[in-house]
Amino acid sequence: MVGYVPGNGPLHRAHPLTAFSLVALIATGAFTLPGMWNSSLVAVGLLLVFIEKVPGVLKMAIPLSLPFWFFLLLIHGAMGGDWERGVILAARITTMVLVFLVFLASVHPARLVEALVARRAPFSVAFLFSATLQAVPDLRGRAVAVLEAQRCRGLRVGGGVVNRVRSLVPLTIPLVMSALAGLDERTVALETRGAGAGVAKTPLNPPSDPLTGRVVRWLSLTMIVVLIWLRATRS
Amino acid sequence: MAKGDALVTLSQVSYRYPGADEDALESIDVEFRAGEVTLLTGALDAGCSTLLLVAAGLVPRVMGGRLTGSATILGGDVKEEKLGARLAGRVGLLLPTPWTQLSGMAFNVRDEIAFGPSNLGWNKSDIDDGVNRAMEKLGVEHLADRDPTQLSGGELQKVMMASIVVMEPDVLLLDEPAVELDPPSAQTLYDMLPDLARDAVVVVASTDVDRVYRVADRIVVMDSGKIVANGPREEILRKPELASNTTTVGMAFYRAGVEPFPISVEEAVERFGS
Repeated sequence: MVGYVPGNGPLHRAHPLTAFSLVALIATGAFTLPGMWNSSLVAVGLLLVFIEKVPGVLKMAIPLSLPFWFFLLLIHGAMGGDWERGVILAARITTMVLVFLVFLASVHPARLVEALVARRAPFSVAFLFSATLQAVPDLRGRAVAVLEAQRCRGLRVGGGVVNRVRSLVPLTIPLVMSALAGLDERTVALETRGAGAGVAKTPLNPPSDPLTGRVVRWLSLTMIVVLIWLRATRS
Repeated sequence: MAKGDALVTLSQVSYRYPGADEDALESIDVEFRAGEVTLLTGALDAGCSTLLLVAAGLVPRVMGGRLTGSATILGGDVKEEKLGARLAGRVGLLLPTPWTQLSGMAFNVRDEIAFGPSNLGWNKSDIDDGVNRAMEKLGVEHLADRDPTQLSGGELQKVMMASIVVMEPDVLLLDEPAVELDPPSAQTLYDMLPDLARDAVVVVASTDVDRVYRVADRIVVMDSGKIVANGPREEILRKPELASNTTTVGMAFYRAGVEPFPISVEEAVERFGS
Protein backbone atom coordinates (compact mmCIF):
# COMPACT_ATOMS: atom_id res chain seq x y z
CA MET A 1 0.00 0.00 0.00
CA VAL A 2 1.53 3.33 -1.05
CA GLY A 3 1.54 6.01 1.57
CA TYR A 4 3.86 8.86 2.37
CA VAL A 5 7.53 7.99 1.98
CA PRO A 6 9.95 10.41 3.66
CA GLY A 7 12.30 12.03 1.16
CA ASN A 8 13.87 15.21 -0.09
CA GLY A 9 12.81 15.38 -3.75
CA PRO A 10 11.34 18.53 -5.33
CA LEU A 11 7.75 17.38 -4.74
CA HIS A 12 8.58 16.47 -1.15
CA ARG A 13 9.94 19.96 -0.55
CA ALA A 14 7.32 21.85 -2.55
CA HIS A 15 4.24 23.43 -1.03
CA PRO A 16 1.57 20.67 -1.21
CA LEU A 17 -0.68 22.73 -3.45
CA THR A 18 2.22 23.37 -5.81
CA ALA A 19 2.95 19.65 -5.93
CA PHE A 20 -0.73 19.02 -6.56
CA SER A 21 -0.86 21.56 -9.38
CA LEU A 22 2.14 19.92 -11.10
CA VAL A 23 0.59 16.49 -10.80
CA ALA A 24 -2.71 17.84 -12.08
CA LEU A 25 -0.89 19.42 -15.03
CA ILE A 26 0.70 16.12 -16.03
CA ALA A 27 -2.60 14.27 -15.64
CA THR A 28 -4.41 16.92 -17.68
CA GLY A 29 -1.69 16.68 -20.34
CA ALA A 30 -2.20 12.93 -20.53
CA PHE A 31 -5.85 13.46 -21.33
CA THR A 32 -5.63 16.48 -23.61
CA LEU A 33 -2.41 16.21 -25.63
CA PRO A 34 -2.86 14.69 -29.06
CA GLY A 35 -1.70 11.28 -30.27
CA MET A 36 1.45 9.73 -28.96
CA TRP A 37 2.44 12.94 -27.15
CA ASN A 38 0.42 11.91 -24.17
CA SER A 39 2.04 8.46 -24.12
CA SER A 40 5.39 10.13 -23.54
CA LEU A 41 4.03 11.49 -20.27
CA VAL A 42 4.35 7.97 -18.85
CA ALA A 43 8.09 8.64 -19.03
CA VAL A 44 7.56 11.88 -17.06
CA GLY A 45 5.70 9.89 -14.44
CA LEU A 46 8.51 7.33 -14.27
CA LEU A 47 11.05 10.14 -14.05
CA LEU A 48 9.16 11.55 -11.06
CA VAL A 49 9.30 8.13 -9.38
CA PHE A 50 13.10 8.17 -9.61
CA ILE A 51 13.57 11.87 -8.78
CA GLU A 52 11.42 11.52 -5.68
CA LYS A 53 13.04 8.16 -4.85
CA VAL A 54 9.72 6.40 -4.31
CA PRO A 55 10.22 3.11 -6.20
CA GLY A 56 7.48 1.51 -4.08
CA VAL A 57 5.04 3.41 -6.29
CA LEU A 58 5.85 1.04 -9.16
CA LYS A 59 4.79 -1.98 -7.12
CA MET A 60 1.35 -0.45 -6.88
CA ALA A 61 1.18 1.25 -10.28
CA ILE A 62 2.07 -1.82 -12.34
CA PRO A 63 -0.67 -4.15 -11.06
CA LEU A 64 -3.15 -1.28 -11.24
CA SER A 65 -2.26 -0.45 -14.84
CA LEU A 66 -1.75 -3.90 -16.31
CA PRO A 67 -5.44 -4.83 -16.57
CA PHE A 68 -6.06 -1.61 -18.54
CA TRP A 69 -3.23 -2.43 -20.94
CA PHE A 70 -4.56 -5.95 -21.40
CA PHE A 71 -8.18 -5.02 -22.06
CA LEU A 72 -7.52 -1.85 -24.07
CA LEU A 73 -5.04 -3.62 -26.35
CA LEU A 74 -7.43 -6.54 -26.65
CA ILE A 75 -10.41 -4.36 -27.53
CA HIS A 76 -8.74 -1.66 -29.68
CA GLY A 77 -5.80 -3.66 -31.01
CA ALA A 78 -6.60 -7.35 -31.35
CA MET A 79 -10.32 -6.85 -31.97
CA GLY A 80 -10.43 -3.37 -33.53
CA GLY A 81 -7.11 -3.31 -35.33
CA ASP A 82 -6.19 0.11 -33.89
CA TRP A 83 -3.18 -0.76 -31.73
CA GLU A 84 -2.06 2.87 -31.51
CA ARG A 85 -5.35 3.91 -29.90
CA GLY A 86 -5.06 1.09 -27.38
CA VAL A 87 -1.55 2.18 -26.42
CA ILE A 88 -2.61 5.84 -26.14
CA LEU A 89 -5.56 5.09 -23.87
CA ALA A 90 -3.61 2.67 -21.66
CA ALA A 91 -0.67 5.10 -21.39
CA ARG A 92 -3.06 7.85 -20.41
CA ILE A 93 -4.40 5.80 -17.50
CA THR A 94 -0.90 4.66 -16.50
CA THR A 95 0.26 8.28 -16.36
CA MET A 96 -2.68 9.22 -14.15
CA VAL A 97 -2.05 6.32 -11.79
CA LEU A 98 1.69 6.97 -11.65
CA VAL A 99 1.54 10.69 -10.90
CA PHE A 100 -1.25 10.30 -8.36
CA LEU A 101 0.70 7.64 -6.49
CA VAL A 102 3.88 9.73 -6.65
CA PHE A 103 1.89 12.59 -5.16
CA LEU A 104 0.62 10.37 -2.32
CA ALA A 105 4.15 9.14 -1.64
CA SER A 106 5.69 12.63 -1.74
CA VAL A 107 3.22 14.81 0.13
CA HIS A 108 2.42 14.02 3.75
CA PRO A 109 -1.36 14.23 4.24
CA ALA A 110 -0.81 16.44 7.30
CA ARG A 111 1.03 19.01 5.18
CA LEU A 112 -1.73 18.97 2.59
CA VAL A 113 -4.39 19.53 5.23
CA GLU A 114 -2.33 22.30 6.82
CA ALA A 115 -1.89 23.92 3.42
CA LEU A 116 -5.65 23.87 2.87
CA VAL A 117 -6.33 25.23 6.36
CA ALA A 118 -3.78 28.00 5.84
CA ARG A 119 -5.63 28.89 2.63
CA ARG A 120 -8.80 29.27 4.73
CA ALA A 121 -10.41 26.28 3.03
CA PRO A 122 -13.64 25.29 4.82
CA PHE A 123 -13.31 22.55 7.45
CA SER A 124 -15.39 20.21 5.31
CA VAL A 125 -12.98 20.51 2.35
CA ALA A 126 -9.89 19.89 4.49
CA PHE A 127 -11.62 16.95 6.17
CA LEU A 128 -12.70 15.51 2.83
CA PHE A 129 -9.09 15.50 1.60
CA SER A 130 -7.77 14.02 4.81
CA ALA A 131 -10.49 11.39 5.13
CA THR A 132 -10.04 10.35 1.50
CA LEU A 133 -6.29 9.94 1.92
CA GLN A 134 -6.82 7.83 5.02
CA ALA A 135 -9.89 5.87 3.95
CA VAL A 136 -7.97 3.03 2.32
CA PRO A 137 -5.59 2.31 5.24
CA ASP A 138 -8.53 2.62 7.66
CA LEU A 139 -10.68 0.15 5.73
CA ARG A 140 -7.73 -2.16 5.30
CA GLY A 141 -7.17 -2.22 9.07
CA ARG A 142 -10.84 -2.93 9.69
CA ALA A 143 -10.85 -5.69 7.06
CA VAL A 144 -7.88 -7.41 8.73
CA ALA A 145 -9.62 -7.22 12.13
CA VAL A 146 -12.87 -8.63 10.71
CA LEU A 147 -11.01 -11.39 8.89
CA GLU A 148 -9.14 -12.41 12.05
CA ALA A 149 -12.31 -12.33 14.15
CA GLN A 150 -14.26 -14.44 11.66
CA ARG A 151 -11.39 -16.93 11.36
CA CYS A 152 -11.36 -17.28 15.15
CA ARG A 153 -15.03 -18.20 14.89
CA GLY A 154 -14.34 -20.93 12.36
CA LEU A 155 -14.80 -19.15 9.02
CA ARG A 156 -12.76 -20.80 6.26
CA VAL A 157 -11.71 -18.20 3.70
CA GLY A 158 -9.47 -20.40 1.52
CA GLY A 159 -10.33 -23.29 -0.78
CA GLY A 160 -12.12 -23.18 -4.10
CA VAL A 161 -13.79 -20.25 -5.83
CA VAL A 162 -17.24 -21.13 -4.45
CA ASN A 163 -15.97 -21.21 -0.89
CA ARG A 164 -14.11 -17.92 -1.35
CA VAL A 165 -17.22 -16.22 -2.75
CA ARG A 166 -19.33 -17.68 0.06
CA SER A 167 -16.95 -16.33 2.70
CA LEU A 168 -17.31 -12.81 1.30
CA VAL A 169 -20.69 -12.26 2.96
CA PRO A 170 -19.57 -12.78 6.59
CA LEU A 171 -16.57 -10.59 5.84
CA THR A 172 -18.26 -7.78 3.95
CA ILE A 173 -21.27 -7.19 6.17
CA PRO A 174 -19.31 -6.67 9.43
CA LEU A 175 -16.80 -4.53 7.53
CA VAL A 176 -19.49 -2.23 6.16
CA MET A 177 -21.42 -2.15 9.43
CA SER A 178 -18.33 -1.34 11.50
CA ALA A 179 -17.31 1.37 9.04
CA LEU A 180 -20.78 2.93 9.31
CA ALA A 181 -20.80 2.70 13.13
CA GLY A 182 -17.33 4.22 13.21
CA LEU A 183 -18.57 7.03 11.00
CA ASP A 184 -21.39 7.78 13.45
CA GLU A 185 -19.00 7.94 16.38
CA ARG A 186 -16.51 10.04 14.46
CA THR A 187 -19.27 12.51 13.63
CA VAL A 188 -20.10 12.78 17.32
CA ALA A 189 -16.43 13.19 18.21
CA LEU A 190 -15.81 15.87 15.59
CA GLU A 191 -18.92 17.74 16.64
CA THR A 192 -17.76 17.92 20.26
CA ARG A 193 -14.26 18.97 19.23
CA GLY A 194 -15.29 22.21 17.63
CA ALA A 195 -15.77 21.02 14.05
CA GLY A 196 -19.05 22.91 13.84
CA ALA A 197 -17.74 26.06 15.50
CA GLY A 198 -18.19 28.08 12.32
CA VAL A 199 -14.92 29.99 12.82
CA ALA A 200 -11.76 29.85 10.74
CA LYS A 201 -9.53 26.96 11.86
CA THR A 202 -6.08 27.98 13.06
CA PRO A 203 -3.32 26.36 10.99
CA LEU A 204 -0.89 24.57 13.29
CA ASN A 205 2.16 24.11 11.06
CA PRO A 206 1.46 25.89 7.77
CA PRO A 207 3.96 24.83 5.09
CA SER A 208 6.15 27.60 3.64
CA ASP A 209 4.99 28.91 0.30
CA PRO A 210 7.89 30.66 -1.48
CA LEU A 211 7.39 32.90 -4.51
CA THR A 212 8.88 30.39 -6.95
CA GLY A 213 6.37 27.77 -5.82
CA ARG A 214 3.50 30.19 -6.26
CA VAL A 215 4.71 31.09 -9.76
CA VAL A 216 4.98 27.40 -10.67
CA ARG A 217 1.47 26.86 -9.32
CA TRP A 218 -0.06 29.68 -11.33
CA LEU A 219 1.81 28.62 -14.46
CA SER A 220 0.56 25.07 -13.99
CA LEU A 221 -3.01 26.22 -13.51
CA THR A 222 -2.78 28.46 -16.57
CA MET A 223 -1.40 25.59 -18.64
CA ILE A 224 -4.18 23.31 -17.41
CA VAL A 225 -6.78 25.82 -18.56
CA VAL A 226 -5.00 26.26 -21.92
CA LEU A 227 -4.75 22.49 -22.45
CA ILE A 228 -8.43 22.00 -21.70
CA TRP A 229 -9.36 24.92 -23.96
CA LEU A 230 -7.20 23.56 -26.80
CA ARG A 231 -8.75 20.16 -26.42
CA ALA A 232 -12.26 21.61 -26.40
CA THR A 233 -11.69 23.72 -29.52
CA ARG A 234 -9.94 20.86 -31.34
CA SER A 235 -12.92 18.57 -31.01
CA MET B 1 -19.96 29.76 35.66
CA ALA B 2 -20.71 29.87 39.36
CA LYS B 3 -20.53 26.77 41.45
CA GLY B 4 -24.01 25.27 41.79
CA ASP B 5 -25.38 26.70 38.52
CA ALA B 6 -27.45 24.15 36.60
CA LEU B 7 -25.67 23.98 33.25
CA VAL B 8 -27.64 21.03 31.90
CA THR B 9 -31.35 20.69 32.64
CA LEU B 10 -33.48 17.89 31.29
CA SER B 11 -37.17 17.91 31.99
CA GLN B 12 -39.47 15.03 31.03
CA VAL B 13 -37.07 14.06 28.25
CA SER B 14 -37.83 10.96 26.22
CA TYR B 15 -35.76 9.93 23.24
CA ARG B 16 -36.08 7.29 20.56
CA TYR B 17 -33.24 6.45 18.13
CA PRO B 18 -34.06 6.53 14.42
CA GLY B 19 -35.68 3.26 13.38
CA ALA B 20 -36.03 2.00 16.96
CA ASP B 21 -39.30 0.53 18.25
CA GLU B 22 -39.03 1.84 21.77
CA ASP B 23 -37.64 4.80 23.67
CA ALA B 24 -34.03 4.67 24.82
CA LEU B 25 -34.83 7.31 27.45
CA GLU B 26 -38.14 7.78 29.21
CA SER B 27 -39.31 10.84 31.15
CA ILE B 28 -35.87 11.91 32.32
CA ASP B 29 -35.74 14.72 34.87
CA VAL B 30 -32.25 15.67 35.93
CA GLU B 31 -29.98 18.65 36.45
CA PHE B 32 -26.21 18.68 36.26
CA ARG B 33 -24.62 21.49 38.26
CA ALA B 34 -21.28 23.27 38.00
CA GLY B 35 -18.83 22.13 40.64
CA GLU B 36 -20.25 18.62 40.88
CA VAL B 37 -18.94 15.28 39.70
CA THR B 38 -21.89 13.02 38.92
CA LEU B 39 -21.59 9.28 38.50
CA LEU B 40 -24.16 7.92 36.08
CA THR B 41 -24.48 4.19 36.49
CA GLY B 42 -26.73 1.26 35.76
CA ALA B 43 -26.76 -2.07 34.02
CA LEU B 44 -25.80 -2.34 30.37
CA ASP B 45 -28.50 -0.87 28.13
CA ALA B 46 -29.75 1.30 31.00
CA GLY B 47 -29.49 4.43 28.83
CA CYS B 48 -26.45 6.11 30.43
CA SER B 49 -24.62 6.66 27.12
CA THR B 50 -27.77 7.97 25.46
CA LEU B 51 -28.28 10.41 28.33
CA LEU B 52 -24.76 11.71 27.73
CA LEU B 53 -25.56 12.26 24.05
CA VAL B 54 -28.59 14.33 25.07
CA ALA B 55 -26.54 16.28 27.61
CA ALA B 56 -23.97 16.96 24.89
CA GLY B 57 -26.65 18.54 22.70
CA LEU B 58 -26.18 15.93 19.98
CA VAL B 59 -29.71 14.61 20.15
CA PRO B 60 -31.63 14.96 17.92
CA ARG B 61 -29.50 17.52 16.01
CA VAL B 62 -26.71 15.11 15.02
CA MET B 63 -28.03 11.65 15.89
CA GLY B 64 -31.54 12.11 14.50
CA GLY B 65 -34.45 10.34 16.16
CA ARG B 66 -37.32 11.83 18.16
CA LEU B 67 -36.88 13.79 21.36
CA THR B 68 -39.74 15.02 23.49
CA GLY B 69 -39.65 17.13 26.64
CA SER B 70 -37.30 19.98 27.32
CA ALA B 71 -33.49 19.88 27.36
CA THR B 72 -31.41 22.99 27.99
CA ILE B 73 -27.64 22.95 27.73
CA LEU B 74 -25.68 26.04 28.69
CA GLY B 75 -28.80 28.09 28.15
CA GLY B 76 -29.54 26.69 24.69
CA ASP B 77 -32.46 24.47 23.74
CA VAL B 78 -31.40 21.15 22.15
CA LYS B 79 -33.88 21.72 19.36
CA GLU B 80 -32.11 24.97 18.31
CA GLU B 81 -30.56 24.66 14.87
CA LYS B 82 -27.56 26.83 15.76
CA LEU B 83 -26.83 24.96 18.98
CA GLY B 84 -23.69 23.36 17.47
CA ALA B 85 -21.90 26.68 17.11
CA ARG B 86 -23.04 27.80 20.56
CA LEU B 87 -21.76 24.65 22.28
CA ALA B 88 -18.56 24.24 20.25
CA GLY B 89 -15.71 23.74 22.69
CA ARG B 90 -17.98 24.25 25.70
CA VAL B 91 -19.21 20.66 25.87
CA GLY B 92 -16.69 17.83 25.75
CA LEU B 93 -17.70 14.21 25.25
CA LEU B 94 -15.32 11.29 25.61
CA LEU B 95 -16.56 8.02 24.11
CA PRO B 96 -15.45 4.58 25.33
CA THR B 97 -13.97 3.83 21.89
CA PRO B 98 -11.05 6.25 21.58
CA TRP B 99 -10.00 4.97 18.15
CA THR B 100 -13.23 6.24 16.60
CA GLN B 101 -12.61 9.70 18.03
CA LEU B 102 -9.42 10.38 16.16
CA SER B 103 -9.80 13.49 14.07
CA GLY B 104 -8.20 11.89 11.03
CA MET B 105 -6.56 15.26 10.43
CA ALA B 106 -3.61 15.05 12.78
CA PHE B 107 -0.54 12.97 12.29
CA ASN B 108 1.04 13.24 15.70
CA VAL B 109 -0.37 13.33 19.22
CA ARG B 110 0.41 17.01 19.74
CA ASP B 111 -1.63 17.99 16.68
CA GLU B 112 -4.41 15.57 17.66
CA ILE B 113 -4.79 17.33 21.00
CA ALA B 114 -4.55 20.71 19.27
CA PHE B 115 -7.34 19.75 16.84
CA GLY B 116 -10.19 21.11 19.02
CA PRO B 117 -8.58 24.45 19.92
CA SER B 118 -7.53 25.01 16.32
CA ASN B 119 -11.12 24.40 15.20
CA LEU B 120 -12.19 26.99 17.74
CA GLY B 121 -9.82 29.52 16.19
CA TRP B 122 -7.54 29.90 19.22
CA ASN B 123 -4.29 31.67 18.44
CA LYS B 124 -1.19 29.54 18.07
CA SER B 125 0.45 30.42 21.39
CA ASP B 126 -2.76 29.69 23.34
CA ILE B 127 -3.02 26.37 21.52
CA ASP B 128 0.58 25.46 22.38
CA ASP B 129 0.12 26.41 26.04
CA GLY B 130 -3.17 24.54 26.30
CA VAL B 131 -1.77 21.43 24.63
CA ASN B 132 1.26 21.41 26.94
CA ARG B 133 -0.98 21.74 30.00
CA ALA B 134 -3.33 18.99 28.83
CA MET B 135 -0.47 16.62 27.98
CA GLU B 136 1.11 17.21 31.38
CA LYS B 137 -2.21 16.70 33.17
CA LEU B 138 -2.79 13.36 31.44
CA GLY B 139 0.88 12.33 31.52
CA VAL B 140 1.22 11.91 27.77
CA GLU B 141 4.11 14.32 27.04
CA HIS B 142 6.29 11.39 25.96
CA LEU B 143 3.78 10.55 23.22
CA ALA B 144 3.78 14.04 21.67
CA ASP B 145 5.47 13.07 18.41
CA ARG B 146 3.90 9.63 18.02
CA ASP B 147 1.37 8.81 15.32
CA PRO B 148 -1.97 8.61 17.18
CA THR B 149 -3.10 5.67 15.06
CA GLN B 150 -0.16 3.63 16.35
CA LEU B 151 -0.88 4.04 20.08
CA SER B 152 -2.13 1.33 22.41
CA GLY B 153 -5.76 1.51 23.58
CA GLY B 154 -4.76 2.92 26.97
CA GLU B 155 -2.41 5.51 25.52
CA LEU B 156 -5.03 6.56 23.03
CA GLN B 157 -7.69 6.90 25.70
CA LYS B 158 -5.45 9.26 27.67
CA VAL B 159 -4.69 11.25 24.51
CA MET B 160 -8.38 11.56 23.69
CA MET B 161 -9.08 12.69 27.26
CA ALA B 162 -6.35 15.33 26.82
CA SER B 163 -8.00 16.32 23.51
CA ILE B 164 -11.20 17.10 25.38
CA VAL B 165 -9.64 18.61 28.52
CA VAL B 166 -7.54 21.01 26.43
CA MET B 167 -10.69 22.93 25.45
CA GLU B 168 -11.54 23.46 29.14
CA PRO B 169 -15.22 22.70 28.52
CA ASP B 170 -17.98 23.88 30.86
CA VAL B 171 -19.65 20.49 30.54
CA LEU B 172 -17.42 17.42 30.53
CA LEU B 173 -19.17 14.14 29.73
CA LEU B 174 -17.18 10.94 30.04
CA ASP B 175 -18.52 7.60 28.86
CA GLU B 176 -16.51 4.78 30.48
CA PRO B 177 -13.38 6.93 30.32
CA ALA B 178 -11.09 4.30 31.82
CA VAL B 179 -12.25 1.19 30.00
CA GLU B 180 -8.90 0.89 28.18
CA LEU B 181 -6.75 1.90 31.14
CA ASP B 182 -4.81 -0.16 33.66
CA PRO B 183 -6.08 0.19 37.28
CA PRO B 184 -3.50 2.78 38.46
CA SER B 185 -4.04 4.94 35.36
CA ALA B 186 -7.80 4.65 35.80
CA GLN B 187 -7.54 5.83 39.40
CA THR B 188 -5.28 8.73 38.35
CA LEU B 189 -7.84 9.76 35.76
CA TYR B 190 -10.71 9.63 38.22
CA ASP B 191 -8.70 11.52 40.84
CA MET B 192 -8.37 14.51 38.53
CA LEU B 193 -12.14 14.85 38.06
CA PRO B 194 -12.87 17.04 41.13
CA ASP B 195 -10.26 19.51 39.88
CA LEU B 196 -11.83 19.54 36.40
CA ALA B 197 -15.25 20.07 38.00
CA ARG B 198 -14.17 23.18 39.91
CA ASP B 199 -16.25 25.46 37.65
CA ALA B 200 -17.74 22.87 35.35
CA VAL B 201 -20.16 19.99 35.16
CA VAL B 202 -18.49 16.57 35.10
CA VAL B 203 -20.64 13.53 34.40
CA VAL B 204 -19.07 10.07 34.28
CA ALA B 205 -21.08 7.17 32.90
CA SER B 206 -19.47 4.07 34.32
CA THR B 207 -20.12 0.69 35.84
CA ASP B 208 -16.82 1.02 37.74
CA VAL B 209 -18.59 2.21 40.89
CA ASP B 210 -15.73 1.03 43.13
CA ARG B 211 -13.35 3.58 41.72
CA VAL B 212 -15.57 6.46 40.67
CA TYR B 213 -17.71 6.78 43.78
CA ARG B 214 -14.82 8.20 45.80
CA VAL B 215 -14.71 11.32 43.60
CA ALA B 216 -18.45 11.59 42.86
CA ASP B 217 -20.61 14.12 44.68
CA ARG B 218 -23.81 12.72 43.28
CA ILE B 219 -24.91 9.39 41.84
CA VAL B 220 -27.65 8.88 39.28
CA VAL B 221 -28.81 5.29 38.80
CA MET B 222 -30.54 4.32 35.58
CA ASP B 223 -32.49 1.27 34.53
CA SER B 224 -34.22 0.58 31.20
CA GLY B 225 -34.00 4.20 30.08
CA LYS B 226 -35.31 5.66 33.33
CA ILE B 227 -33.69 7.32 36.30
CA VAL B 228 -34.42 5.17 39.33
CA ALA B 229 -32.37 7.09 41.88
CA ASN B 230 -30.61 10.42 42.05
CA GLY B 231 -28.94 11.79 45.14
CA PRO B 232 -25.79 12.36 47.17
CA ARG B 233 -23.22 9.59 46.92
CA GLU B 234 -23.51 8.19 50.44
CA GLU B 235 -27.28 8.15 50.36
CA ILE B 236 -27.49 6.22 47.09
CA LEU B 237 -24.74 3.71 47.82
CA ARG B 238 -26.21 2.75 51.21
CA LYS B 239 -29.78 2.15 50.06
CA PRO B 240 -30.57 -1.59 50.34
CA GLU B 241 -32.99 -1.40 47.40
CA LEU B 242 -30.12 -0.12 45.21
CA ALA B 243 -27.62 -2.69 46.44
CA SER B 244 -27.04 -4.01 42.92
CA ASN B 245 -25.53 -0.60 42.08
CA THR B 246 -23.38 -0.13 45.15
CA THR B 247 -19.70 -0.97 45.59
CA THR B 248 -18.40 -4.54 45.52
CA VAL B 249 -17.78 -4.38 49.27
CA GLY B 250 -21.25 -2.97 49.88
CA MET B 251 -22.86 -5.66 47.75
CA ALA B 252 -20.95 -8.44 49.55
CA PHE B 253 -22.00 -7.26 53.00
CA TYR B 254 -25.57 -6.68 51.81
CA ARG B 255 -25.75 -10.26 50.53
CA ALA B 256 -24.34 -11.45 53.83
CA GLY B 257 -27.27 -9.77 55.50
CA VAL B 258 -25.34 -6.93 57.14
CA GLU B 259 -27.39 -3.74 57.47
CA PRO B 260 -26.46 -0.99 57.35
CA PHE B 261 -23.67 -2.30 55.14
CA PRO B 262 -20.23 -0.71 54.79
CA ILE B 263 -19.32 0.47 51.28
CA SER B 264 -15.53 0.41 51.44
CA VAL B 265 -12.80 -1.86 52.74
CA GLU B 266 -11.64 0.90 55.11
CA GLU B 267 -15.12 1.22 56.59
CA ALA B 268 -15.51 -2.55 56.90
CA VAL B 269 -12.17 -2.89 58.69
CA GLU B 270 -13.11 -0.07 61.03
CA ARG B 271 -16.41 -1.70 61.90
CA PHE B 272 -15.48 -5.37 61.95
CA GLY B 273 -11.69 -5.48 62.26
CA SER B 274 -10.27 -6.73 65.49
